Amino acid sequence: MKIRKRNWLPGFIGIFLLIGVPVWYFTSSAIVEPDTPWDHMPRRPAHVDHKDLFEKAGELTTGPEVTAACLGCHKDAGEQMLHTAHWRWESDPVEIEGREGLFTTGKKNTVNNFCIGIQGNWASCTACHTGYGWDDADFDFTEQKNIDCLACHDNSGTYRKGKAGLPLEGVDLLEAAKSVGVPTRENCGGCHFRGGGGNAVKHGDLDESLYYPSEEVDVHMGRYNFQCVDCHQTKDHVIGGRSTSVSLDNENQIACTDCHNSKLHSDDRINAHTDTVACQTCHVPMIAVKQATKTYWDWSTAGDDFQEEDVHKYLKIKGSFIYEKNLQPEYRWYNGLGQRYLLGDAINTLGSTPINAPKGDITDPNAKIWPFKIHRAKQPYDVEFEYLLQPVTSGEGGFWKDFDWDAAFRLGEGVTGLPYSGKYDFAATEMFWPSTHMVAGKDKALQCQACHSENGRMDWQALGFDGDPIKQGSINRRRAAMDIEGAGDE
Amino acid sequence: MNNKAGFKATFVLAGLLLTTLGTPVLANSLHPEVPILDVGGKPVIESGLPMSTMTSCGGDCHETAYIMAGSDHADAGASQLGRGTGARDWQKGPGFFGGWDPVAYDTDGLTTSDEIDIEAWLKRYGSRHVGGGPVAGLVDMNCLLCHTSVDDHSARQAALENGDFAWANSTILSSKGILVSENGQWQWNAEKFKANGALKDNLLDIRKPRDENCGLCHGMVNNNLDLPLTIPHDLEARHNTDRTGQLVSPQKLLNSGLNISGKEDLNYPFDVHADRVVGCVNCHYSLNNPVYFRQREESRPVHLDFDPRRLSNSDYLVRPLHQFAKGRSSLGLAAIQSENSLRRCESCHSAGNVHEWLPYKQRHFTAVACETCHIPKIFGPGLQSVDWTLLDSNKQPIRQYRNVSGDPVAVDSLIEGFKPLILPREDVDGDLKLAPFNLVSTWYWTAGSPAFPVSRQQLEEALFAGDDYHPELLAVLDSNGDGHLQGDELRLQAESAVAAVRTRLQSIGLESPGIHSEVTPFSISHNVVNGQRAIKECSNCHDRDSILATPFSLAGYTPGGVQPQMMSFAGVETAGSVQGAGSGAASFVPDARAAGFYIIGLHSESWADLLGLLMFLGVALGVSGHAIARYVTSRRRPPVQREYERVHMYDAYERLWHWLQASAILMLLFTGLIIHKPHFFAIFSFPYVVNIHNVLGFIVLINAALALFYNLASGEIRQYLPEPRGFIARSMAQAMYYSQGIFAGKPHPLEKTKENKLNPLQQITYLAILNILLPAQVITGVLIWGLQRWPDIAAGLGGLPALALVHTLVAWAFAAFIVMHVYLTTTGHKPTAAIKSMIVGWDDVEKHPGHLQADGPKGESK
Repeated sequence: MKIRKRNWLPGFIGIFLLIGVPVWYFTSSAIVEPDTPWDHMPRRPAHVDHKDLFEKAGELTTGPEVTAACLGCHKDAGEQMLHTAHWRWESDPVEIEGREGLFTTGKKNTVNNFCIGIQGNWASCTACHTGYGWDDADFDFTEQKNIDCLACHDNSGTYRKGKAGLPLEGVDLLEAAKSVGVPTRENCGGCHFRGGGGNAVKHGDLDESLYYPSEEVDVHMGRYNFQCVDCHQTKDHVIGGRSTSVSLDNENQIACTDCHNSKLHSDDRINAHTDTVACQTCHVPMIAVKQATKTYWDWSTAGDDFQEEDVHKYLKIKGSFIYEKNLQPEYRWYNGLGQRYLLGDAINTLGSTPINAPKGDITDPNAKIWPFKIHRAKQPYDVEFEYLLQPVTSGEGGFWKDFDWDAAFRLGEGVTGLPYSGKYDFAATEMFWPSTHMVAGKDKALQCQACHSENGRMDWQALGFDGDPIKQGSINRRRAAMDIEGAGDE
Repeated sequence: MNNKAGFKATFVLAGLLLTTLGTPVLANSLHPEVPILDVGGKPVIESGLPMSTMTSCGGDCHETAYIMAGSDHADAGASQLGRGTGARDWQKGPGFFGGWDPVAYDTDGLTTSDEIDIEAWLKRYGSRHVGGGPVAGLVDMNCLLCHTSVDDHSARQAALENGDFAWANSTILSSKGILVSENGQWQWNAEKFKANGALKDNLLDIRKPRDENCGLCHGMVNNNLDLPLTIPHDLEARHNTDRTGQLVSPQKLLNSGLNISGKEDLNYPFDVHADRVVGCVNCHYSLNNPVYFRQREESRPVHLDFDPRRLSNSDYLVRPLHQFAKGRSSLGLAAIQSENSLRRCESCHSAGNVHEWLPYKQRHFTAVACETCHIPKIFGPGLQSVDWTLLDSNKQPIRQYRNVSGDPVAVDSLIEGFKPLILPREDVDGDLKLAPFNLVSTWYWTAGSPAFPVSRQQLEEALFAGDDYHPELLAVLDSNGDGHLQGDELRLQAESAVAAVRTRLQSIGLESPGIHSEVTPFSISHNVVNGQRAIKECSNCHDRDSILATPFSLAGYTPGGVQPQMMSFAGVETAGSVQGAGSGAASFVPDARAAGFYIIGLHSESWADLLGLLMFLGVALGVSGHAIARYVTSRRRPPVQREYERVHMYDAYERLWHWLQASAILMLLFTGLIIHKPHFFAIFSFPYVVNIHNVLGFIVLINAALALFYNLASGEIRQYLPEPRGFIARSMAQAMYYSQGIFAGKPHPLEKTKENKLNPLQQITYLAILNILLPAQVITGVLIWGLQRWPDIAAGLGGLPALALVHTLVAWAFAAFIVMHVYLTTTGHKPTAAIKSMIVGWDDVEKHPGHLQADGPKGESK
C-alpha cells in the first residue's frame, strides 16, 4: 500500500466545513431588504458639449431653424416628440368610468378655475407650449420643425418664449443651441413654476423658490440638488408623472416608492400608516413654504376700474385673489384618479363644483389620504345651460381688452361650439392640486399630534371615520379592506 | 420680577399663536352650563360674593365633599403628618404639607413647635396647592385649576401671597374678564354672565385635565409642536423639571428652542408618550375611572377572570375618586394610599415580544427597570446642587445644573444630555430593579437646639443690609473689592468665609449655626425613548466603564467642606458612597454589587482568573523546563539507533473527530477569552463572538457525542478504561519515563499499539477530562446559553455568576491541558512524529522483541 500524499487535505477541508458552515449559518443575520434609493437614480453620462456642433448650421434666426439643426442629428427625436403630451397637450383616448365612449383631454380642450381654458386664447397660453406658432385651432401637430427643443434643453438660461411660443425678440438662438443639455429645474420651472399665469400661482408645491432651494424648501432638490427629471424620468421624450388637473388616467405615474421602500420606517406604528396615508401627507407638511400661492380667485369682480391694482389682491382683468404662504394642505382620500370636469358637464348648482375631485374614499383600498392645495374660485357659467363657460380673454375682442363678458362668451361659443344662452353668472368651483413636491426633511415630517389631537389637521368625520381613529378605531376602513378580501375569495 | 414678566409674555405669545394657528379649542359639549355659586348656593352675580367651587360644582352633580376627602392633591400629605419624618427633626411629615424639600427650601409654615402655620404655608406654597384638605377652612379645592383651559394663574398666586384667601380661587376667572378689580375690590362682570348665573357660552371650557394643567405645578409641558420649547424663568413652573430634567413634550429635540449640544442629530421627541398622544391622565388616571379601573386580583373569587359589574360612567362622574394612579416617588404628596397604583410600563407594553435580540431577556427584565435603557439621557435642565449657604445678589441660592453650562433660561447656555444615575429601586411587587435617578445635593444653614433650618427671611436678614451685602460679609468675601459678590466669591470654601457668615447669623440671634448637607434622589420615569433610541450596547453596563459604577457628580465644591449625606428614602436603595473628588468636589460612586447585583463584565471574581492563570503558567513553565532538560541531555548522549515499524494507528474517523474537537476547542478558548475580557478585544463585535462561541460549543458537544457513540459501538472505549491489574505499576513506569528515562534516551516503557494507544497517565487524564471537565463545561455552557429558556435550572445552580465562574475555571483547565497535551506529543521518537501520525494515521512505533509486526509498509528508517 502506498502512502497517499496529502491525505490530510480532505480532512482539513472537512473540518473547516464542519465548523465554518454552522458558524456561518447561525451567525449570518436575516437578510434585510436594504433601502437604497440612490440605486434608482438615473446615471447620466456627461452630456455631449454642443458648442462646436453648429458651424454648418448657418445663421439660426428662428426657432424652427434651430429645431431643423437638432433633428439633423437626432433623427428619432422629432417623431418621439409628436406623441408626447408636452407637444399635443392632450391625452390618448381613454375610457372614463361612468361615461360612454373614449375621451381625449388635456390642456388643449379642458377648463380649469384659473385662466379657465386655452381655447380662443391660444397665443397667450401657448407661450408655454413646446412648439412654435400655435395661435389658433389649426396648428399643425404633425410638423416636426415646429417643435421647440430649446424650451427643455436650453442650458444657457437665456432662452425665453413669448406669444404662441415663439422665441422672444433678442434671444440669441445660436448661443442657446450651443448650450443644450439635460433639462434642469430652470427648463421645467420656466413653465411649471409659473402655471396659472405667474410664479407660485397654481400648484402651491412648485414655485421659483425651487430654482435654488434650500433643504428647508425641498429636501431632494435642496440637500441633494435633484433635478426634476431625476424623479420625472423620461423615455423617448415621454416624461413621467401625472396630475389630475389634466390627466384622466394614472399611467406612467411616479411615486416616492419608486425609490424608497414603503415600509422603511423603523417604527411599526408608522409603517402601519402607509396603507392608508400617502408618504406626502407626513413628508409634505407645508406647501408654498417661501412664496405665497393663490388659494382663491373671484372672476366676478373683474373689470372694475375703481379697485386698486395689486398683483396679489386685485387685477382688473382677472378679479380678486387670495394668496397664502406656508400653507397647511387639506386632506382628501385619493386613489390617483380624478373626477375630471369636462367642458359641457353640468355644474353643481347647490354648492361648489369640483373641477377634478380626487377619486377614492375610505372604502377604496387603493385610496390613501393625500395632501392637497385646493384652489377655490368663482368663475363664469351659463345660467340657462348650467355649465361652465369658456370666455375668450386675450386678444382682439377678448375680455381683457374690452371687459365685456357677454362678448367674450359669444366669441368663446364660436371656438368651443358650446352654446351660450346669453345669461351668465359666476359659480363656485374648486380644483385639487396634490402636494407632492416641497418634501421636508425627516425632522420636519408630521408627528402624531399633528393629526391625532384635538386641534389636529384631519377632519376625521369628513374623511369617513367615526372620529380620531386613535380613539375611535378605523372600523370603516377595515370593513372596506374586508369587503375586498371577501370579494377576492369568491 | 422682570423674569416673571418675560415668562408671562411668552405665555401670551403662545396663546396668540395657538389661537391663530390652531382651530379654536372645542368646548366640551357634554358639560351642562352651570351657575357660578357662592358658598351659600346663590349665584355670585347676584350676591357679589366669591365663587365656591364646592357649591358650584357640587349640588346635584359632583359630590365635592367626597372628591375633596379622597383627593391626594388636596391632602398634600397632611394626613401623614407625624409619620415618616426621616432624619430631620424639623420635618413634620413626609409630604408637601409640613414636609421638607431642601431644593425649594420649604421652611415657611414650619415652626419649632408641632404646629404648622397654615396661613404662612398658604401664602408661600398655596399657588402649587389645589386648595382644600388642610387649608379647607381658608381656600376651597379649586376644580378650575385642573379642569379648565385657564392658563394664567398669576392672579390666584398674588391673592394667596397677599392673604386674600376668600377670593383666591375666584381670581383665576379674572384672566377671562369674568372677575374684574375695581378700586381694589373684586367685582363680577355682569357682561359675562347669563341670566341664570351661568357664564356665557364658550367662556370657560370644563373638561378633563390636560397635560398643561398638570404642568402648572409638576414641571414643564409643551405640547405645541409649532412653538419651540424654551425654559421658563418661573421656578415653580419647572418644579420636577428642575429636580430631574424631565419635561413633557412631543417636540423633537432638534426642533426645540434649547441649545442642546449636537442637537441636529437628535431627531426624536423629548418624550415618546407625549409624541404618541399619551397624556398625563392616561397613566395617572383616577383610580375608579371605569375606563382604566383594574380590579385587584384578590378581590375576585378564583373562578372569575373579570368581574363585569362595573362602575357606570354616571356613577363615576358623581363620585370620581381624586386619587390618581402613581408610581413611587421619593418626594411629593406622600399619597401613601395610591403609591404604586400606576400601570407600569409592562401593563401596556409587551416587552417580551420586542426584546428577542436581548440576551438573557428574562434576567434583564427581572433586574432592570424599563426606564434604565429607555431613558438613556436627560436633556431638560436638571439640578446637581443647590447651595443655600450664601445667596446671590438676587437673593437666590447658587444652583448648579447637571447638564447646563450656566443659567438654563439663557438661550446660549449649552445643554449636554446627562445619563441618569442607576440605583436599585423597589417596584410594585417589592422587587429591587435598577432604575434611573437624579441626585440633587443641597447645603443650608441650621441653627438652634434642636437644629432647625435658618429660614429664608433670617438668611436674607443676616447676609444683606438693605439690597446690598452686609459690609462685614463683604470685608471677608469680596476678594476683588468691587463691592459685589460673584463667581467664586459666592462659594463658602475658605474657613474665614464660613466664619464670616456664621458670625452674621449669630448676630441676628441664631445659636450655634452650622452647615447641613443632604443628597436627595429623584426618580426618573418620563422622557422615555422608543426602542430605536434606547440603550442597546451591552457595554453600557457590562464593562469596566459601566454606568453602574461611574461616579455621579454631586457638586463642584462643598460649602464649608461639609460632605453631603445621602438621605434614605423608602423604595430607593442608595447603594454606594459619597466620595470627595479633589478640589472640594464630591461624587456619588454607586455600588450595585452591594445591593446584590452582580454585573458580568463589571464585577468579576478575580481570584478565578488568577487561579486559572497560575495553573496555565505552571503547566507552561513545567513543560518548558522539561523540554529544555530533554534538549540538554539529548545533546550530551550519542543518538540511539532504534528500529521502528510503521503502524496504522488512527482510523480516519478518529483523526477527524480529534482535529474537529481540537480546532473547535481552540476557537472556543479564543472566543471565550474575548467574551471574558471584551475590553481587551474591542475590535471584535461582542454579540457576534458570543454567537460564534455558542455554535462552536454545540459542535464540540455533537462531536463528543458522536465520538462516544463510535467508541462505544466499536468497543474502542476499552482503550480509555484503565486495566486495573498492574495499573499502579504501569503508571509509575510511565511517570518514571517522563521524569528520568526520557532524559537518558531510554525507550518508552509501554508500547503504543492501535489497540492500546493510551498509556495509564493518558487514561487517567482523559477520564478526568471526559467525565469531569467536558461535562462541566458543556453543562455550564448550555445553561449559560439557555439561561432564558430554563431560568429555573440556572437559578438553582447559582445563576449566571456561578455558572460563568465554573465555565471560566474549566476553560483555564482546558487551556492548561492543551499545553500539556501538545507538549507530550513531542515526546515520541521525533518531536513531530505523534502530530504527524494523528494527521496521516500512520505512526512509527518502536520495535519490541517478541511483538508482532503490524502489516504496514516500512517507513523511512533511520
